[in-house]
Amino acid sequence: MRPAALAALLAGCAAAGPIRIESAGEPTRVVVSAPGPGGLRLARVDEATGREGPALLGESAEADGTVRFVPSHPLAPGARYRATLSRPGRPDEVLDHRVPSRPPAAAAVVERIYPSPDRLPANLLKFYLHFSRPMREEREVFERIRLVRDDGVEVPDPWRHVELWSEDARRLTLFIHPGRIKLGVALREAMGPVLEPGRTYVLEAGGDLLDQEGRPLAALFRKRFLALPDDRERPSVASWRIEAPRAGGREPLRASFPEPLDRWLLARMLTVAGPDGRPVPGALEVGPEERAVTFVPETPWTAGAHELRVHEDLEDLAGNTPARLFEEPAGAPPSPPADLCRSFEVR
Amino acid sequence: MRIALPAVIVLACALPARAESGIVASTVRGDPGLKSIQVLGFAADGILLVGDGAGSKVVAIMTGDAKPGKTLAAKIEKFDAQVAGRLGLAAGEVEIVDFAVNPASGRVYVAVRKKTDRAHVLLTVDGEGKIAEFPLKDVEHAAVPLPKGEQAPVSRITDVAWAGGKLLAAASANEEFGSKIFVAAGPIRHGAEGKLASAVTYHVSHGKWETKAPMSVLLPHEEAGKTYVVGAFSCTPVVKYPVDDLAPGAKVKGISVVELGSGNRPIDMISYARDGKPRILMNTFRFHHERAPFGPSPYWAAVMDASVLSENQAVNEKALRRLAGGSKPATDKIRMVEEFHGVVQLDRLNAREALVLRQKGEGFDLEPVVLP
Repeated sequence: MRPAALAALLAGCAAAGPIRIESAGEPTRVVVSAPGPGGLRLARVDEATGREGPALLGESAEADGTVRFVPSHPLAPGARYRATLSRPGRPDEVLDHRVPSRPPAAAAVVERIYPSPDRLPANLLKFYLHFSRPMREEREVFERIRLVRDDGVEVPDPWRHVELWSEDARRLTLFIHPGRIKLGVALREAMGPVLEPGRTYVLEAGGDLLDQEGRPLAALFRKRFLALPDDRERPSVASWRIEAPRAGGREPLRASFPEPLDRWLLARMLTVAGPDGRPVPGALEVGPEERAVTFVPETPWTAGAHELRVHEDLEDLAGNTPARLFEEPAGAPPSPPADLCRSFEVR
Repeated sequence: MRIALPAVIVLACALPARAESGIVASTVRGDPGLKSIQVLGFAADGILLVGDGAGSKVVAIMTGDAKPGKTLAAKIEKFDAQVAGRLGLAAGEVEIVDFAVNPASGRVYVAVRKKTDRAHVLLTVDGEGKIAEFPLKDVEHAAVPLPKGEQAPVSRITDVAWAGGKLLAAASANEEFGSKIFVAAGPIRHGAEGKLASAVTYHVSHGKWETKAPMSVLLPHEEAGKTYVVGAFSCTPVVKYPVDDLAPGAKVKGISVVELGSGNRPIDMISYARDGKPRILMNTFRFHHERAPFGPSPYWAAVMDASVLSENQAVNEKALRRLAGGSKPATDKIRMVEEFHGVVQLDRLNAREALVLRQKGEGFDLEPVVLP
C-alpha cells in the first residue's frame, strides 16, 4: 500500500461497492470518489427521521475515469452523511459515513463577571460575562440569561438585544436596555426600570446557554447583587488618589477611585505621560472591584513631572463619563469642561 | 440591506465600467479576510458592500454580477434548514444574519453564520431558488478599515450604504453604548481608512437630544437635489442627515421627521414607488412584544409616504408620530402592514415585490411579497 493511501486509511475511510469516502487530513474533511462517468452527491442524514437533506455545497470533478466530490465546508463531528452515486442506466448506489465525534471536553463555565462588586447602581448600564470556552453566538442568548428579583420574580425583558461578543466568543457584553434606564423614556414609563434601588437581584446564566459545540454550561452561574440608588454624577478624576512611584525603579504607579469604573474601558482609556509629554510604555492592571489601577513601566521611572491622562469616554458603571452624564437632563446648561489629567511627581 | 437610489442605479446601468460609475477607484484581488459578515448592501454595478464588524472594516466586493436576470418567484420554505443542509449542518445550526438583493441582477446574497464554528459564509439564491456559494478566496475588492484608537473599537456594523458619493457605515463598539457613523469619501480606495463623524439626534418619544444612541439602519434619500442619509434608531425616531455634512470629525445635527413608537428596534428600511408615489417600508423588532404586542409576532412592519422624509418644518419636537396614544393611529401617512408580520429581514426584490425572511414556527421562509 502506498504511504498516502495508508495515511488516508488511518485517518478514517469508508468504502462499500464503488463509493469511497476518505478523510482529507482531518475527520471532518472528506473526499468522496467513485468510478465515473456519473454524478456524486453527499447529504446529511437526519438521525430522527432517516431522511436525507439537500446536497452539500462542494466541488465535483471527473478525471481518469473517477468522479470526485469535495465538500466546501467541514462536516459536523458525530453526524451521519450519505453519498449517492448516480450512473446512467444503473440504479443509484449509496454509502453512509459517520464522522467521528469529538473527544469529550470540559463544558464551559462562566469564569468572571464585571462589574465585580456586589453593590451596583440601579441605573447600571452593562455586564461583561467571561466564559472558559468559545460560546455559541445566537440571538437566543438574551433569553438564556435571566435577572431574578429578591421576591423570585424574573425581571421581564431586561437586555438590549444586540449581540456583542469578543472576537474569540468568550466574552459577552450584556447591556441593560437603555430605554428602561433613561428617565422619561416611554419604555421605562410602561415597564418600569430593570433595577430598583434597595432590592437584591440574581443574574443567572444556566444550562440552556450553549457553547460553540452546542453543549450546555457545566453549572448554573449566579451573581447576586444589591441595587443602590441611581448614579447620576460624572466621575471626577480630581477625586482619584494617586500614589506616585520613586525614580530609578519599576514600582507601580497606583491610582484608586471612589467608585468602580468600567473594567474594559479602564484597560483602554488610561495613559501615562513622562516629563517629555510622550506616553510611557508599560502594563496597566485593573485592581479589585474596578476601584484601582496599577501601572508598571517597561523601564525604570525617570525623575520629573508625569501625567496620568484619562480619555473623556471612560465610563462609570452607569455610563457617565468625566465629560458628560449618560443622561443629560433636558434643558440643562452645558457641562463644565472635564478634568482629564492628574499630574504626579516622580522623585 | 439597503439599496442605492434608483437614480444611481440607472446611471450605473448606463455606465457599466465601475471607474465611470465613480464608486470604486482602487481594488486588489484575493481573499478579503472577512472575520464576520454582519450586514450586506449593494451599490450600483453589482458592488456588494459587506460590514465586517469583527474585522473593523467595510469591504466592497466586485461581484461581476451585473447582468439583469429573473428574481426569485417562489417561496422557499424552511430556508434556514435548506441553507443548513447545503452546509452539512442540522436545522438550527445556522443563522441567516442578513441578505441583500443585487439590484443589477436580481440575485440574492445571503450572509450566514455557522453556529458550530462561528464561520461566516456568503451564499447566493438565483431566480429559480437555487442556493450556491459565493466563494471569497479570490475576489476583486476594496477594504476600508475603520479607525482604531484608545476608544473602544468597533465590533458590530449595523448597516452600510453608498449615498451621495460616500460610503457610510453605522457601527457599535463592544464596550460602549454609542453612535458611530463612519464615512469614506468616494470613490472607494482599497486601504483608505474611514473617518468617524458623530451625530446629534432628537429622540421624539422622550423629548431629548441624544449623542450616544446607536443608529440601526441607513437609507439614502434625495430631496430637492440634495442627498441625505436617513437613519433609524431604537425607540423609534427616523432621522435624516445631509450627506455633505458627514465629514470626518464633524458633529452632525439630524432632523427627526417621524416617530414610530417606543419599544422597537428598526431592522431594515427600503424605498420604492407604488402607483408613482414614493414609499418607505421598514420592519422592526418589538422589544416588549409579550407585554404590549402590535401583532402576532415581535417582528412587524410599517409603510409610510416618502413625503414624510421631506418634511422640514414639523420636525424634532413637532415630528410626525405614528401613534396618537396607545395603539391608535395618528396619521394616515404611516400604517402597519399585516402582510409583513413576522418579517425578520427584508429588501426590495423588484419594482413590484419585496423579498422577506419570515419567521414561521422554529424556522424561516424566504418569500417574495407584493410591496404595500
